[in-house]
Amino acid sequence: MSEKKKLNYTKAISELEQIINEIETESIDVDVLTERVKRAAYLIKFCRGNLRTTEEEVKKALSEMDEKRAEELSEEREDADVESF
Amino acid sequence: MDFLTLGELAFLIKSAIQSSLSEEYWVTAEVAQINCNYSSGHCYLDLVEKRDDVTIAKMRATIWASNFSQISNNFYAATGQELQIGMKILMLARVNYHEVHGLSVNIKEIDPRYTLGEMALKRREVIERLTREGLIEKNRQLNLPPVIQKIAVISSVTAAGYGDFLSRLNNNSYGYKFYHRLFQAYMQGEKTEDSIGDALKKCVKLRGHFEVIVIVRGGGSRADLHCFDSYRLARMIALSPIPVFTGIGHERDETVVDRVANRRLITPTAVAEFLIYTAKQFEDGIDVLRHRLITRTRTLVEQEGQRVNNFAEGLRSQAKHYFKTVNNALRNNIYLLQTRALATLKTHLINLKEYEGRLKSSSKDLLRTGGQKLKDYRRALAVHPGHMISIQSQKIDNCEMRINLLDPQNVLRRGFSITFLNGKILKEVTWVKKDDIISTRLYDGSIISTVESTGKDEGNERKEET
Repeated sequence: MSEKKKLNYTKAISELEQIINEIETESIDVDVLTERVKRAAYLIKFCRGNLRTTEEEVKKALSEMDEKRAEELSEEREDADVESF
Repeated sequence: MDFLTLGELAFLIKSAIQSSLSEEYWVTAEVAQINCNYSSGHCYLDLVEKRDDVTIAKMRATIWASNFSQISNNFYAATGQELQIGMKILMLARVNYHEVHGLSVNIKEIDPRYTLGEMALKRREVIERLTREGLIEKNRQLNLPPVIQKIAVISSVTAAGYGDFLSRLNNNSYGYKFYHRLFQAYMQGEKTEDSIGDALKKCVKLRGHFEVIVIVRGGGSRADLHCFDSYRLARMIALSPIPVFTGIGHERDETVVDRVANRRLITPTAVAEFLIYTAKQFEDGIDVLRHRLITRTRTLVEQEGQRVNNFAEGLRSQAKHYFKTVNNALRNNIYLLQTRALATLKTHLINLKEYEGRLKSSSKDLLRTGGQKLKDYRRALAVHPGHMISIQSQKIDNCEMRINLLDPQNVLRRGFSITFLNGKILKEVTWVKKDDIISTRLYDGSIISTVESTGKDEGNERKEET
């Protein structure tokens, strides 16, 4: 779960590219290959899955935002940090 | 006391104006307010002149319905925009005074080129200012994530473009999921600039939740575009920490907001398509990698299998070869062993036979010799006593004879004599001199004589006796 939180598209794709480059350019032991392919498969699944599935966290965050932030925003409108940009 | 009625005063003013301001004038002014009466078709405006944002003149103006449609159409055709608040216009005007409605300017004509120039000038000034302040590329320099899925939308629920955007985005044929939230803003009218500004502030406050801000509004209409040339709005977009995309639905003119946005897309649909395209690009990239992975893995596995097979094959043939060699070697060794063993055995057998023969013959010899010797001994033993005695007595006789031969008595008997000097046997003539007395021993007696002389023989020395 913690890894899933950390993992994003950028990290996933760069790791994937790294794995493929490794297995394409280096002679690799079959045991290591299996491990790499497993990892790559996971990364691909992660990316393709995330393109299509609803991420509960995001959904939750967005709905919370709708309820809570609406009032806050009207009050915070004059906040210095926002004003400054 | 003379006095005028208000109507009389009004009449005087009207006459004065008509006599001294009868001409038509080309006048520049800024539109401060505009209202069109759709039933009558007349248009009523407030015109101002400002200097340093302070109003230094203000007048009401009218465009009669008979002129308005043509003026309005010309203006729109030239500028792409409706007449609206904040625009600077150049108009052909006549001053009018009405006893009830007061002073106003009647607009006969508007030259849109002036407004265009003003707009372009203003836009150029804003762009120059943003460039000078290093803001013009600021939002464009923000990196986009490989996939943009969390979208803050600034639009109006009622805007046609918003619906287009959402339906295009949500009904994409790839089944990609996008998270979007609307930040409501007016997309036309005088509140547009402020409300978009407010919406932007809200988005920025929630920056962690969004990867992009899109500003979309319905395509087609070019009304109210001038607020997108506003310095304030452009500056906010430039400084937004989230990339901003625009799809504000106009094709010809690029507004200042478009200019500072991370990406300018023509229509809301185009924005949605760009977002879908980005995801598609990403997935295609993944597919390419996936394909490379599969191909490479397959190759590697096949190679490995081939290698194992080759290895097994090699092992088998090598083992076969090895066993053959070993077998041959063994066979050879066995053969060698057999032949050598046989040869050795044969040799030993021959040797043995030889030894046997030799043993037999030598033992026979030994026995024979032994027997002979025994016989000899027996024979010797048989003849021994008499024989031994005769041999020994012969030996003794012999010895006696030899001894007798050596006896000087016997020598003397044969005629030899011995001479003594002073009791010693005289052997050499030099031992004596004249007058020495010598005794000579013969066989049967002695002679005593005195030496007369001595002389040496040529060979042996000889003594002459006297």
